[in-house]
Amino acid sequence: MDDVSSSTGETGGFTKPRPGVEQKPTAHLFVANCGPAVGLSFDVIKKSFSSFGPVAAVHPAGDSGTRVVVSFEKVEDAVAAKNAWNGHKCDALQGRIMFMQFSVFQPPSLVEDHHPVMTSSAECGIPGLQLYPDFVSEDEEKRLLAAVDQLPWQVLAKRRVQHFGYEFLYKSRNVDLSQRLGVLPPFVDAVVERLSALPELTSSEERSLPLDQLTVNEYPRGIGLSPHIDTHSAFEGSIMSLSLAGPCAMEFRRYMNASKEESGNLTEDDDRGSDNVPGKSQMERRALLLPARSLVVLSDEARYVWHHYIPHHKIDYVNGEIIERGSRRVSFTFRKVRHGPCHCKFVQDCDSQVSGIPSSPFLSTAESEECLNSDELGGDAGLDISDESSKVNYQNRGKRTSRSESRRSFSTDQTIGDVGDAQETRELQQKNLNEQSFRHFSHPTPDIEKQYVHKVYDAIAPHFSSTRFAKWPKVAAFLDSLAPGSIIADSGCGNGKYLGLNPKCYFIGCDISPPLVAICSQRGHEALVADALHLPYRSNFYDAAISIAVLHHLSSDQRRIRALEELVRVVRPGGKVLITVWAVEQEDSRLVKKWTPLEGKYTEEWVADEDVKSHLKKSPSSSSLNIIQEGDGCEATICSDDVSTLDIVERDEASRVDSSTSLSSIEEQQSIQTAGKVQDPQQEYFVPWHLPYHRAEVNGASVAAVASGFARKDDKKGAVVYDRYYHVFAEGELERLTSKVKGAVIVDQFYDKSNWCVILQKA
Amino acid sequence: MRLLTHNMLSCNIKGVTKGFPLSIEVQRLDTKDADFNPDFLRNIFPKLEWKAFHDAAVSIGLNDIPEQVDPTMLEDHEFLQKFHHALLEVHLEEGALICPETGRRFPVTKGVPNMLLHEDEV
Repeated sequence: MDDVSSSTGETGGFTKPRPGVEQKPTAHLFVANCGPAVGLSFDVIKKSFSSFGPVAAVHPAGDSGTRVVVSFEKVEDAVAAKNAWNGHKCDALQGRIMFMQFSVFQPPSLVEDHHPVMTSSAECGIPGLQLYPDFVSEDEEKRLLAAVDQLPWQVLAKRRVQHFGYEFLYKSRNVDLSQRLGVLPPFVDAVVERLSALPELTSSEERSLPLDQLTVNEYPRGIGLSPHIDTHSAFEGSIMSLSLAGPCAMEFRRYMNASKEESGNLTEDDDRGSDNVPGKSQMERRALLLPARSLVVLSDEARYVWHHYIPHHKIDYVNGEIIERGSRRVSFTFRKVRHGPCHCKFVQDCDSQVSGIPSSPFLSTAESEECLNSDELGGDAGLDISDESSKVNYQNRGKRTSRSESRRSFSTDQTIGDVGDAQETRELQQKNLNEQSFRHFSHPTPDIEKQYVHKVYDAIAPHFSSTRFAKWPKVAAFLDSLAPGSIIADSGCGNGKYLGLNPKCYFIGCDISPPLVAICSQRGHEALVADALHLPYRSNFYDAAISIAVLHHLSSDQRRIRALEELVRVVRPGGKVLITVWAVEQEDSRLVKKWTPLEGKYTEEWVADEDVKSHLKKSPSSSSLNIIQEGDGCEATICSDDVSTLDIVERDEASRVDSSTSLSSIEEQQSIQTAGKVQDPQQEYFVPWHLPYHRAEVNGASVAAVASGFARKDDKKGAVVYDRYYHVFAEGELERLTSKVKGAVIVDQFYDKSNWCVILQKA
Repeated sequence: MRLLTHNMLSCNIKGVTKGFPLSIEVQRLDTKDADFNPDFLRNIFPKLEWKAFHDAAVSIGLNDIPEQVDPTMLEDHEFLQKFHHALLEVHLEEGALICPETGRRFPVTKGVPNMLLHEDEV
């Protein structure tokens, strides 16, 4: 036991005046946001404060490690230190912003502050609370710990977590039913089986089965859990938590006389009243030791009414003995997510039945915005809305009279005292938001894509489709590598030539072009009309996703990244995503000569500029089309659309074209393309599509398209010519974009047949 | 659109937090035979939101899908047949999918749901 923990719950006998009472300067400064837990040793603190005058001692204030009492020998030195550093960034102490108040010495109270910790649930007498000691064997404990230690942890402010089944979202304190992560991991199968047979689960009126959510929490020594009730609407039935690796005392609190009528808001008044303050509200407290390998089950009143709380202690006192918490405690909390509202009889604590009830009585809206508070049994603490900070809130309201109360309030700290932690929390919250798989992307589709991608494919769909049948071997190999039964999303599926390629898998295609999707559907494929930037799928579902020749039709980095994020969002953790795009480095330089470079980085205005457009259309490079005859009588342009065309070209033109696509030819082509601006290779193009006059679709939309100037006739070639917008990718560009997508890593990347390709795996 | 597809679809309109499951408005259903593959059914089973699947099945008039299931039922041939039929053989040809939160109606035409969002919905 070290110095800090030996004074658990104590503050070295110093206290801080109640708020509202004018502070009389003393030699003792209560300093928040300062201490060993934030990387400042007592020696360093003493040294720094000594710049104002001799410091007699530095004491820990409570066992949080983030608050100290600095005792100067002279009052005026304490005053000087407070004036200089209170609330200001302090360079001498790592730039921290500390908050200070004068403190006075008080002899320790004779009143017992803590109350007895029970060792059986029967002693606690809380309906629905059940403790099962030795629920798992030591071997089982080892196996469970080893299993989770092999998996990646999500690092929160003071602890680490892993979610299975559904992710618990700390911001909403709920789960998102559309974002199922999958089934519970096999290493808990045996435990789940035993849990499922517990009388609390089998005999309850409320369904707790099947258990489908598991949160694993790892608490370092000294980290506890802020008081809360798990959100009623999030989970139904009983909640079960295994304690592994170390014990802890869990405290249960029931707030009496809640008076919504007075405040209209539970968070504001009812539960902030301190215990022992007679009248308005009172709190019942019971504490239960959760030994390692025990299971605690919360049902009924214990689950819906009593707040559970783990003090932030490194030790617990049980029957006069000191129980060490151990270097860590790992809890496995099993729950069943609720579909629909809660109908429990404990209306006043039920967020389904009373609006505006957050899960913790201590969180105001503002605080919950600022802080990631969790909601879990064995859940969080750590997250900076500690019991301490909340205590101050009711301390601010309550009238404290007894010594024990003032001493307890002293050990605590105001919320602002944790500025450093709060900042850390915000960062983590941001991280957490980024990790949440779904974000909105509120940018309208640029006109260039609507005009020169979507409308073109709508107009040429049947002809385009008739030229799109060759399957690219690399895509086929990727699809073949997936496990039987895999579910695959093809985002931007075109005519669906890859749908169903692996007959043991289930494919769903989507494309923004309704005529192309109609072709997929007519061929018996499952397909729908959707935007690759707003996939209408729930998250973490698909085993794999493919995006073949799609990203190069998007007109900004932001949009290309968004499309990648959506692909990653919809696949499950571990799922793979194959992305292919056209390369700047085309193997066949003749193709590129048929494209119309877009000068500079166009804008929507640029594209709308008629002069420039007509200039582009007169560009000599766009009039040298070569049409080849295919065996089946269909016509296809040499212009490749996706890689399959190159296959055709290679196959059909082998005798005519030197198909040796050496690097030198690529280099030569590039040097032509980028003459005079080597640093900035041309990447923006219009690539023509020639729709032969005899195609039926020429009689429809194309007539209007030509009339409006959207397409043009090329009598020499006997075709209506459409321009399709392309952003072709330079070497390394796709890799750079994917590196901006969180939660996925590149597992393979290659160049093949004039395409850059990346395979991502979701973490 | 098959019920398997329905089980994956979610309304992603801006601000919608519970866009799943979409409710189904039926105008016309079709039944098309699909190869019966028990392994596929067993593989897909744990990925499904069963309640959404069950409710969707009921909403299109398939009443022989049990509300409660457990993996042992995957050994029951009769159950698998019903599961297979509801999951893969019944198609919503004409109708709509309705967002549970906003009531937004996504039309289904010739078996194809149109899930495109309007610009003010993204």
